[in-house]
Amino acid sequence: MTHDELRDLSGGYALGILSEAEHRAFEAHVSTCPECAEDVRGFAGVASGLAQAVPQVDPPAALRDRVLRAATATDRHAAEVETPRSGRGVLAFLSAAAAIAALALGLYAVSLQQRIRVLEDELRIASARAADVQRQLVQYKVASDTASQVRAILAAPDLRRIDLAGQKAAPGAFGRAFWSPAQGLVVAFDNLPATSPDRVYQLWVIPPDKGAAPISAALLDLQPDGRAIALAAPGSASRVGIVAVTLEQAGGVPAPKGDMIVVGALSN
Amino acid sequence: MSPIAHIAAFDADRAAVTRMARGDASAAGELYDRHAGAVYSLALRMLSDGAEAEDVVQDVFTQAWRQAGRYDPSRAPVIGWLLVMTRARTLDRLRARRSRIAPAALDAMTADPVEPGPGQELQAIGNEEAARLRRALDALPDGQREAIELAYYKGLSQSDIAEALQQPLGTVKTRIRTGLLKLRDALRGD
Repeated sequence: MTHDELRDLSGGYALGILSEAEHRAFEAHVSTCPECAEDVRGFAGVASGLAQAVPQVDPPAALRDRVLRAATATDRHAAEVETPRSGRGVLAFLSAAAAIAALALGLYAVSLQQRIRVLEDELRIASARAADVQRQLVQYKVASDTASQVRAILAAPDLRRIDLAGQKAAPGAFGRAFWSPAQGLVVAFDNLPATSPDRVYQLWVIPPDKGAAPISAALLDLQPDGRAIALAAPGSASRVGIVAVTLEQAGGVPAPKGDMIVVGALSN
Repeated sequence: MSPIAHIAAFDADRAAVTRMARGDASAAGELYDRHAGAVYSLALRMLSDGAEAEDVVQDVFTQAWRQAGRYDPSRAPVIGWLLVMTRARTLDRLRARRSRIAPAALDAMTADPVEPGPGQELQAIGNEEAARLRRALDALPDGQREAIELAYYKGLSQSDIAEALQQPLGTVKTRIRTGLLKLRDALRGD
């Protein structure tokens, strides 16, 4: 992009309306360009002002009790885990990372590489612990591959975002899908209800053609805190109209039969 | 507000969030009394629906309660923290409206919003500045004001704004930039 084209993004950036790719491109640029940084400082002040310059209206008095009772009744989140102690911890981090700039994920992928090198050294030194270290190595390599794939998707110039809303079976559930026709589909979920061991959440992609059959894309690995992340199998997400999750028998099924949990459609 | 009153208010807010992080429900009440009006007003301006705006107030204070441990006072004042949440939660609802999927799910959407990047934290402004900004916004040519309002209060992308206003994309980008420059100058009291 030329500097003029990048400068044209400064307003959209301050107002928070750029696409993921534009946002990242401008954010990378602004750290090296004092002129655009100065623009953004001024525009960010305007954005702050716009939030507060709206006509001030008092909410109804009855709202106070309802809000405070509901808000303070919820569990507070435990602090986010930055460096996982096990493979499962990695997935929990990745589901938060899906909502954070790809840059953070890139740094994490680098730290995973370092961890792999350390483990490989340990493998050479302590052959008595070989089986345990080998298992950790596999977990970290899988996580590192996953991280690289997720990073490639989030960095893709053709990235689209689809929000998945909870359905009657799980009204509090939420999913955020990031889709690049070139790089693939990754979805982060929150607030999924716990399942019994004989059930699994299955991710489906429905192509945009009339009457198209749903394609199975992944089985979700549900974390105890209700979060999950799913990376669609390559080839199952080349054309996306609708993304959905259903609750099925463990092992998955060839066509969706169970309750719909979350669903979202690609908007034009 | 005098500088001393400003600092006292900032300290009181920060102390309340710290107590809230430790599970003190009365701290949530304090923050509600100071800031629910601002949260409700922004949601109402964006949604034009009192009942939905009330739901956003509940969403925001619920999120604040759950994430009080993550509040960083060095980045923004508490009102800024709450209003960033307010705009994110409201934009979620506006998007759900547009995609017409599962309206029954709106009550419980709890996804974490994207963290504000550098230059995107929300800083508090005083009543005088707010009034100056309102006047400057009203004084903008229609094309500039509409584009900025659709961007900020409806979260539309620049290409969606171009479609909504039936203008070329380049025109929309220029109008947003020109309008923001004028508003910036007005805010600074130029």
